[in-house]
Amino acid sequence: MGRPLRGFILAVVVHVAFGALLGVSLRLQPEVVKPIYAEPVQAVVVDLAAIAQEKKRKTDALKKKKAAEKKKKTDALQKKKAAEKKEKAAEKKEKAEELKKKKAAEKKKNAEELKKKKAEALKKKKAAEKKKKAAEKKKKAEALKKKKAAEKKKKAEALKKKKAAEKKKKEEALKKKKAAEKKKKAEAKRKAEEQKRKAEAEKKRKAREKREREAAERKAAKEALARDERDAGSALGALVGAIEEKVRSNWSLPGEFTGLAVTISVKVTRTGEVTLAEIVRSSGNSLFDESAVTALMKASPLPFPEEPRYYEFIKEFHFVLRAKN
Amino acid sequence: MRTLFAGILLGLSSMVCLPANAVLTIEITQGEDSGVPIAVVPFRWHGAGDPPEDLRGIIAADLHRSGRFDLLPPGNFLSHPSEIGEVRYKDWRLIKAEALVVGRIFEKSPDNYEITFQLLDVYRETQKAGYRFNATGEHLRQVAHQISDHIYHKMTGVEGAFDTRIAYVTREQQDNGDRIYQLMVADSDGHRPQQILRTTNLPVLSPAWSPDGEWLAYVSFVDRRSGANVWLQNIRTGNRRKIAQAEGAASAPAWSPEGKRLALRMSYKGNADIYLMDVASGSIKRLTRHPAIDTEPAWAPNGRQIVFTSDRSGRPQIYRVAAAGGKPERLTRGVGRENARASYDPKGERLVMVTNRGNGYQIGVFYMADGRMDLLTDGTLDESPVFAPNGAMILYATRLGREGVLAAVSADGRVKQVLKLHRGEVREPSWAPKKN
Repeated sequence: MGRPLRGFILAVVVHVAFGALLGVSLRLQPEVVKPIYAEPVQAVVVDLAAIAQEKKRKTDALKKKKAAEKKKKTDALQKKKAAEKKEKAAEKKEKAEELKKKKAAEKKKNAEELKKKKAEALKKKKAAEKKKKAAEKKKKAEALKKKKAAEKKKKAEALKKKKAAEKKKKEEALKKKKAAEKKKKAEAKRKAEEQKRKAEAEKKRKAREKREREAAERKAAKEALARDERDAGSALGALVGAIEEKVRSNWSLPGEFTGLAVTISVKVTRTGEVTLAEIVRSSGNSLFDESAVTALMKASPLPFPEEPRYYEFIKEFHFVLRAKN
Repeated sequence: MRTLFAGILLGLSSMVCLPANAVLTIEITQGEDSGVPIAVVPFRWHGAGDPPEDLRGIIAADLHRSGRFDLLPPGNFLSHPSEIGEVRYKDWRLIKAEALVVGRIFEKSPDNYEITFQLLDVYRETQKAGYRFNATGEHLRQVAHQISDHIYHKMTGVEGAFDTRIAYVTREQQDNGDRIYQLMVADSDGHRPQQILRTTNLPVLSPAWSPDGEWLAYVSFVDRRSGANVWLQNIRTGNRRKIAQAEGAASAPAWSPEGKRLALRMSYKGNADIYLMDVASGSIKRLTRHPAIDTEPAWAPNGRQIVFTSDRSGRPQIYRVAAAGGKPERLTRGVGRENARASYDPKGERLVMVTNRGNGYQIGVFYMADGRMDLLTDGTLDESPVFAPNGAMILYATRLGREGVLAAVSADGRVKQVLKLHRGEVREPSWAPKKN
């Protein structure tokens, strides 16, 4: 058999290839320890051009060397690859022929076995199928029977269940309804109570507000009165002077009544109209008394406050009219 | 709250707090004197032609002269009612009349008239007085004065004195140089003058009415050689007699209130004193005895005192002596340099006299109670003052330009009026008592 040979060749090839790679690297190592370019110490001159040239030269040398090495390596690798290719092709051809022979033999053998196997299988299959069909038929009948019974049972149960469910549902509905009614009633009752409570609270609130309002009004009235009395005090000073002057200028005495005085109660409307002038203390002389009453009637309307609140203070007053001494 | 104003006393004018429950009291004292505003509507004439007298004019002048009334001008009247039924009181309140006089004259037949009038209270809208008169044309003025008296009485409480007469003396220089003296009697407003006595070149002085209004006493001369004598003359009959046949001159007669005696000045043996004469018997009693001149006696209304003028203190002043006799007391002190010719008012409270404060002679009213004197006039030669029988007015002689005239002044001095009189010099008025 050709396989061991081919393996050997392959092994040799691989070894050579790796040996070449390894040999290169082994050779590089000493060059690093003993650098070739460490020698030209005397070349160290302070000449930038020379340094640059030297550097270029070194670089060019290195480049050249690297190119040579690269070429060498490439050539070796190509040579090796060509050899390996040739060997591989030969091996492939051999293997292909062997595989072809083997396949043909296997094919023939497999075909015979398959034929035999097929016949047996068919036979076996037919018997099995027959048996299977009978079993299936039986099974089917049984299943049908079973199914029908089950369905019947199921139906009955379903009906029963349904009836029960309906009954239950009805009961629940009724119960629910009753509960709802009860709840509703309770709610109504609660609402009524709530309303009642609210009404009472409102009533209480209103009563309280009323009390507060009345108290505030009383307070305001009291304050207004105090203010009125203050204001009216000064306003009335002037007012009384005006009233006095008007009555005096309207008073004509038909004679001399030295020492007499009469007191008259006077009532007036809001516009100052005298509605009543009544003698409350006579002078004892009717002519004098009459002249004083006439003076008040003539003086009507009296000069009166424009502000209505002063009216309270002056709607009724006493007037004393006195003769010259 | 009324408490506050309980006592705003006027004059203080500020606010005063007084005890509770008191009532605001406003107190005023009578202001300047002003008359009562009165409207006298022209009397409505119901007859042919023009009315024989302007009754309204006579009444208005009377009321005005008294000083108690302010006569509202007819031009302001809004209506002209002639009786109460036609009166709209509002019309009269608008012009601030307190009293309203309306009236009418009916000519019932020739020279026969019926006169009605009503005095109305404008504010109470009531009638205070209303009368009807029948008169001939001759008496229409007197009717008007009687209406004035009714109004005055109702309005003032005092009897009117318009329907009265006055006496006075006139002196007229004739072209031939003679002086004509006349004793005249006229209505109180000077109208309807009537001659009582006329003399030529023999002065007539000091007429004085008897209390019953029947007689006038006056001083006259029988002839140029004899002294002055007091005469009594009856107004209605014209009869006259000489009552004082004195050796010296007699003058300034004054009737006692009861009308039985006269107080006189008599110059006996060259000394003028006050004497009392019994009118019926002619008997004489000496009242004062002083070397100075005592003259111009006047009776108190009660008949118990007599005031007179005397210069016993150097200048003329007023003294008072009991009618029964006694020591005279001086009344006028510190009220004028000279005072003379005093006479009483009807109540005996005041004297009216001529006073000289150094700038001429004016009329003053002297108050017995406190010795105060009010000056009523402002002339330089005012003289012979006399109270009206109701004491409300004073009649006196004064000068108007170069003429001597009579004038009336209200007792409070508010109103003065010169009376329309006879031409010539007018002097020495006397006011007759009011006849009842």
